[in-house]
Amino acid sequence: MKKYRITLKICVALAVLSAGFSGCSKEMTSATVEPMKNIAGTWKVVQITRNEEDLSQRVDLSTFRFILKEDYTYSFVDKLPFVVNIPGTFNLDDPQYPFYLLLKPTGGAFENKVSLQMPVKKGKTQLSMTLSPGCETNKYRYVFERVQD
Amino acid sequence: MKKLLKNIKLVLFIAGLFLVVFLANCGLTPLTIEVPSEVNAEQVATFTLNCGTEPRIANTDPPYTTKLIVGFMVPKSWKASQNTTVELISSEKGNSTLQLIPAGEKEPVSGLSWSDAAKKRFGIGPNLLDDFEWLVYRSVPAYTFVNNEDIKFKVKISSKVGSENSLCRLGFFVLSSKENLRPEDTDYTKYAFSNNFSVVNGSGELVDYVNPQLAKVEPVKSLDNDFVSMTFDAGILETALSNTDDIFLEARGITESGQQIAVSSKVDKTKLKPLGGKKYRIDIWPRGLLNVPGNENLVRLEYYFTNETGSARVGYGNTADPFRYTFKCP
Repeated sequence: MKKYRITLKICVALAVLSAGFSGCSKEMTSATVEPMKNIAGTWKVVQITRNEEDLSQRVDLSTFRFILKEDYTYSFVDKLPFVVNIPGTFNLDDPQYPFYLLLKPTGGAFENKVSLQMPVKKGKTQLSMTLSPGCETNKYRYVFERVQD
Repeated sequence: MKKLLKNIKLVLFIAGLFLVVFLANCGLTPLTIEVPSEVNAEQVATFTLNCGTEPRIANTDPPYTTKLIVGFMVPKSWKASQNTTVELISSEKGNSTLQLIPAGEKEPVSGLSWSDAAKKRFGIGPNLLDDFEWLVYRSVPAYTFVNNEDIKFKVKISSKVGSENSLCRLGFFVLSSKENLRPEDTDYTKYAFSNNFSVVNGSGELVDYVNPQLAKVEPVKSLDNDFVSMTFDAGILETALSNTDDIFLEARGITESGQQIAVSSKVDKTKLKPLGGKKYRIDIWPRGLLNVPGNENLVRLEYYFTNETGSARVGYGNTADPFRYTFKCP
């Protein structure tokens, strides 16, 4: 039984090693292309901080939804303090390596720029936005996750 | 055997005593500060720090060479980084002007910016409302000390105070750049907080950072599109709400056009949550709570804390006047 286990371990180790090596040679022949970021979906807020103070359990986040559609329009269900509060169109500053989400409300003259990060937590892509809906000196971080329904 | 034990004890005692004397005399002497009790708004205030060195260095090869670091804490609204000069005055080492350490530079021990590292180490001292920033300056020249080079020096900070009437306690520290902000170091880092310091003849209602308030609003500066936290401290004095834990917010918002929007319903979203110690807090989004129309902005909020029926209510200074909060940014 013990022998069998050791053999199995060696096999797994060799498999991992060979996969690693083959990965190396592939990389040398063709450069990896970063996929376009797809942020379409219905998003809910899972965390809010204000000046690094966690407000997630103190304010009602249950009903707010941020809806980003494939046709680059956005809308909301319910309201929270946000950089824009009427629906419009959105874009990313760079579709492969986005740093900012650009939101343009319908009829508005300006694009509102929101600092964006896309961490992956427990296998789920998050949208982490840094914004100041009120005073510039008050920095909020909104962390969104896709609604699974 | 007994004699041997006694000798060991004696040696340990002398070693301990030596260590205490050595440590007590090492580094910087205690910091004393000269701070005026009041200054007119938007005038330049001068703060003087008196300190000295007591180098007792075990190994002077290479010599002990260091820069002087000076920090001070003021309300953010002063925008002091744009309006401050910090000078070292020393007959032995010469006078020089210190420079603000850039925000991007990290304090080596904590890995935080110098401003955040100072906040982590010294906090906001005896103040109760957190709307302060630490500004940290460093000398351009480095200074070399030989053993027992006991000198006295002064640091003169000239800073234009803000436009608002306020009452606070200012914070100051000096340290040796060679030691940085090590959390346990009390020899090379000396700090002090001032007595009450007032900015007078300025604008707006007095912002009192020092005295416990029945009600406080955080962030101190915010707009109606911020999340605003309102705390009721029932432990300060006996009020009509002393015997209940069911406390509600009653608020009236005044818009730019003079329209008044009120909320007085006693529901979950107007109920304060207990924090313990007879303190209660509610976190509101003023635009949302008062349902402010899209084309309007709130300029001011007037509010009371009440019981569940509204029959008992507490206002400013435990009177029938409401608490007032003006929405504005620094």
